[in-house]
Amino acid sequence: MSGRRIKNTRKRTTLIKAGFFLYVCVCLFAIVSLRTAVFNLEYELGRLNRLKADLVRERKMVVAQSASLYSTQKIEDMAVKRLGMTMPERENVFFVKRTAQAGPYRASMR
Amino acid sequence: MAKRRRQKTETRKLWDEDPVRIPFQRSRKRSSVLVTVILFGFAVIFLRLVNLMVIDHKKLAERAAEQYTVKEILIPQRGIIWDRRMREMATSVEADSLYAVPSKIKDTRNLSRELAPLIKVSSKKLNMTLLKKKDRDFIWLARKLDMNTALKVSALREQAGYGGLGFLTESKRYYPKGFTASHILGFTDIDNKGIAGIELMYDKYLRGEASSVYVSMDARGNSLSGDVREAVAGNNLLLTIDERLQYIVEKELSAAVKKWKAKAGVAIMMNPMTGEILAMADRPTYDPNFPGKSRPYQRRNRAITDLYEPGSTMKAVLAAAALEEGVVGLDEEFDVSQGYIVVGGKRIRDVHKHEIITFPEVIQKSSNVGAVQIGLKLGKERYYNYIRKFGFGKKTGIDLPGEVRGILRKTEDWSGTSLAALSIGQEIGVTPLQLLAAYAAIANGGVLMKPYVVSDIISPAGKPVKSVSPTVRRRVISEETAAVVRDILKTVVEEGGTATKAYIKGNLVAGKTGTAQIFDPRTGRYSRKRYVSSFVGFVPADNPRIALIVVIYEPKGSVYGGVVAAPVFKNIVEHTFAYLDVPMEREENQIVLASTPR
Repeated sequence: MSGRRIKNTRKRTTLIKAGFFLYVCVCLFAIVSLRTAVFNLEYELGRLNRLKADLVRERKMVVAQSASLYSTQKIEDMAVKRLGMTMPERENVFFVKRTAQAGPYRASMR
Repeated sequence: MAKRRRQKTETRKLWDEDPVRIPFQRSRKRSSVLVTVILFGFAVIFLRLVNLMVIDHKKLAERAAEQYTVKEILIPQRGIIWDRRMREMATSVEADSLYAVPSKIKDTRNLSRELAPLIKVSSKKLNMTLLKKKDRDFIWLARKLDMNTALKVSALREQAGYGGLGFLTESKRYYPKGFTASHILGFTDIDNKGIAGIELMYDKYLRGEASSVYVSMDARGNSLSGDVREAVAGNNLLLTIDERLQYIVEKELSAAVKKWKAKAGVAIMMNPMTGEILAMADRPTYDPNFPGKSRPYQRRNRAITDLYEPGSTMKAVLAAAALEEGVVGLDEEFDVSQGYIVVGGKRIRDVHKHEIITFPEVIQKSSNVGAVQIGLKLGKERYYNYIRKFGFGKKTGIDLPGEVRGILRKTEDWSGTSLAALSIGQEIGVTPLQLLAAYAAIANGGVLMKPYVVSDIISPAGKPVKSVSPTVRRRVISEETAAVVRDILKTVVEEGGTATKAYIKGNLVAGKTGTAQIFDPRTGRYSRKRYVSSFVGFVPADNPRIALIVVIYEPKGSVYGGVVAAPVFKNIVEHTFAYLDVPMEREENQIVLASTPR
């Protein structure tokens, strides 16, 4: 084997080694960055889960409050005490026909 | 070969003895020692790693998982209870419960002093509890706090830096309509278990399934995403009750109980065609949001748990039985001019004296003497059979807990006066609901319906789980007989009847008053001061939309059903018909009695 050939072989080996080293480095970097990204996503998901739980909780409170405000007793109290209204005689009650069919109150339906 | 080896040895000797190389030689020895040490170190590390990663792997992995994952209990949401128009009658909200870790609390005295007023307990008691349970890792301090209190406690914890306090979220039952329909809805205990009413009866449908999820945590305790898994919520209930009608009934009943200074009151509204309960009110009452603040007598649903003697309201059952059996005709006359009748040595009197009256007039004027004569003509076996057929002495089967069957003795246990007493509604114990169901049978053409309060069970996803349809228990009387009894009952509300105060402009009312003395077990006689006043009927008489009973226990001032209960009936019906948009149909008082089916 000539000296030139040996030199070329050494050069190639060095290049392969450097390439392999670089590849390992890139892989390591990719693994670390992917892992970090996954962790960040997990934190984000955790935060969103908590936010969702808070919103669901708030929604339940709002539904309960609106149901309470819709109670006939409260409506009548408000009409009589605050607005000075009186309960009409039966013959003075007229039903106004709605154009759209009135649906049931469904605030709490999923 | 040997020559080469010798040469190599010599060269090495020369190399080693070279004065220039001697320091390097020493360094080489040190390097060898260092390399050996390092290799040994690596070997130790390698062995340790083998130990950790292979031999003890399972045990250590479990321990690590315990440290970075936390088991979170997911609270199931108890199902919603809606009225028939899907207005929320009971719902669940989330509330914070305060707990303490006594072993981590340093200054219990100061903490107790500041915390006690917020959670409304005595500071001494709180301090004692914390000291007594010093070695414990968890104790509840206050369950299901309202939002404001939770915020105040949280602020106190952060400002004063009290360690060992924490919050856990729990589900709390909330009844947005307050007192309305409290006896039907019932309530739950601190652990959301149904204790009374619908909450108890349908507990297995309403309560959800608790589940847990493992959530990953970082070193600071921040939660990472866990398995997305929600607790199984309970099923929702759709009631037959209408919140507006319930309010109308409760309002009018409250006013009557207050006006007559009565001990209690019951009113039930029912659809006589289906058996659906539209409203059921009891007084006294309570707020199911705070059941602990009420007394047992306030929480009792008298409509199904309390018995009373129905008095004259029983005469409609007697009339129906007599007509069905053909023992009386519509034109038949009864001589009640004496004002009393003696049966089995007991004198039974009329409240008002009459002369000779016809069969319908016996009911219209509520003549006790006439009723006893009809009862005697009918005979005890036949009358007993009809009482049973109308559902007395048996539970109605309503889907509410605590219903009683009533008291109805068998004919062999009857005394000489029992038939006469039963003809005027004594010696029998009924619940208001039993009586209403019997009148509903007359209203709908003679069929006894099973009353019910829950019409549908709906899954959290909105799919039907169970649907309840009207249940016919049995035919009690023929349609013809029912029509005649309805016509007779119409006359009760007309001029000359006992319930003119139940008259409603625009619609015919059919009903009957009842004024029953309360039996005093101390004296063994009927009390002359304590009465139960009632009115039971249905409207419009010929095409009934509602059947309604009003019972007022021990009113003061007046005791007659026509004076105390009939006006309540009228007020409730007028408001109900305005709400339901029931048209007014009658212009003239024209009641023509149908011919007897005899």
